[in-house]
Amino acid sequence: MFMSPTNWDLASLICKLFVYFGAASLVGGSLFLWLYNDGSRKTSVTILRYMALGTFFGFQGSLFNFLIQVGMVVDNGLGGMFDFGMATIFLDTQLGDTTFFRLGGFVLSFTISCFYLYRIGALDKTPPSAFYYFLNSINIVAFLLIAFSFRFSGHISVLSFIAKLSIAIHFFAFAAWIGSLYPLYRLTYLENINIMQISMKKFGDNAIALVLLLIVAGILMLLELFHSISEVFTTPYGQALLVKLVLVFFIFGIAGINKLKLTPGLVNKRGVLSLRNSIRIEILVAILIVCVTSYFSTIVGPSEHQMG
Amino acid sequence: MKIVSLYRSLLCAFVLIVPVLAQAHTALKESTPKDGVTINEIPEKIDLVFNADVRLIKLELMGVGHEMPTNFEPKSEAIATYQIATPDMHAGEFTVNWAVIGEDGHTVTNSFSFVVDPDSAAD
Repeated sequence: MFMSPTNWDLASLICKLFVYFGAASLVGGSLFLWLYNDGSRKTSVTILRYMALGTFFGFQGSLFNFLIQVGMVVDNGLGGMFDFGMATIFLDTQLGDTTFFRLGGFVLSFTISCFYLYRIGALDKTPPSAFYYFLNSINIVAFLLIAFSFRFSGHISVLSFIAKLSIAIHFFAFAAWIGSLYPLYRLTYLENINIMQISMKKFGDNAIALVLLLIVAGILMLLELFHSISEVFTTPYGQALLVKLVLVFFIFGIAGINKLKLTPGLVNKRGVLSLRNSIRIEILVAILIVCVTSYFSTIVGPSEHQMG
Repeated sequence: MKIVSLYRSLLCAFVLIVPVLAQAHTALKESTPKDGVTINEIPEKIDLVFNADVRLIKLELMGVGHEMPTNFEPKSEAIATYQIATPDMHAGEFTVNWAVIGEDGHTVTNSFSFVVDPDSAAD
């Protein structure tokens, strides 16, 4: 049965986008501070603000997704979102567990990001890399909470252990790559091109591992989600996935150009501008990928899950 | 500029595709009374059969302008078949609004309608 998504569906989709943004900023920001940071206070403040903003949105997305599900069932307008009786029922379901773990993860990360913003403001000199160890440790816990939440709900949650492990790996690799793009974009505004090139090269080398993780984990999930190749082309879920794969190939191409041509070309301002524009486009394509993923994980389901 | 144009094309395609590809997580395999039927006997119960175990978290039996009493209470266990008693039924048009949570945690809401007309021939 085909129908236009309702307002509740679209609101739920937006909430999921917020959750993905939150997770990406958490992982990408932490990795940047650990591996690609130029060490300046200004850069660190920018990244910590990015993480705080992202995890704030992630928290709101998780919370409002819960309320939206309540409102959708009560079907009494916006006020229905705050129906205590239905909310109590939902708390005892997979949605309650998922929301609990996500809220916990985002609160942890938001709190530690804000704390570090305060600490950096109180310092009178640039902090060493060890300064961020505690931040990154907390963010590892925060991310694990968020990744664990996928165990309770979603199309993968009813599949095998391998599929559940795959989505956690896929989710981490996605967050690590996509979440690093904005910090890398900010890095292109550095005065010191040498430091910029070192960080970009390091990211490019690490990105190979992320791409491999994305591909392998993605294939393992697809093998369980689809029972035949024809389902990829004949079902709405498969067709949405095809759209995502086209975008993924496109972003792989951009990343390849960035690594092989534009990063080595970081020798002058023109080279910097080229890379900056390319990263800008990469971010836009990444946003599209996240939109498509949110769409087919929220509104459309695999054929196995279409009952009736 | 070519890349920017390609990006714009992809964005437009996405915006156009979303409404076409939307597919609800439908869950109800069959119901008694069936959707859209006219029955000539006043039903004492409503049967819902889902294709998998689900948690039925909402069931409303609506007459014209008022809700009819049922013995429905949301429970924590997930099952595939539900039987809800409908005391005090009478002739008229009715709509059943239901909501379930599937095994994957997705919430599905839907409804079906039927008419009770003792003077009609059954569908």
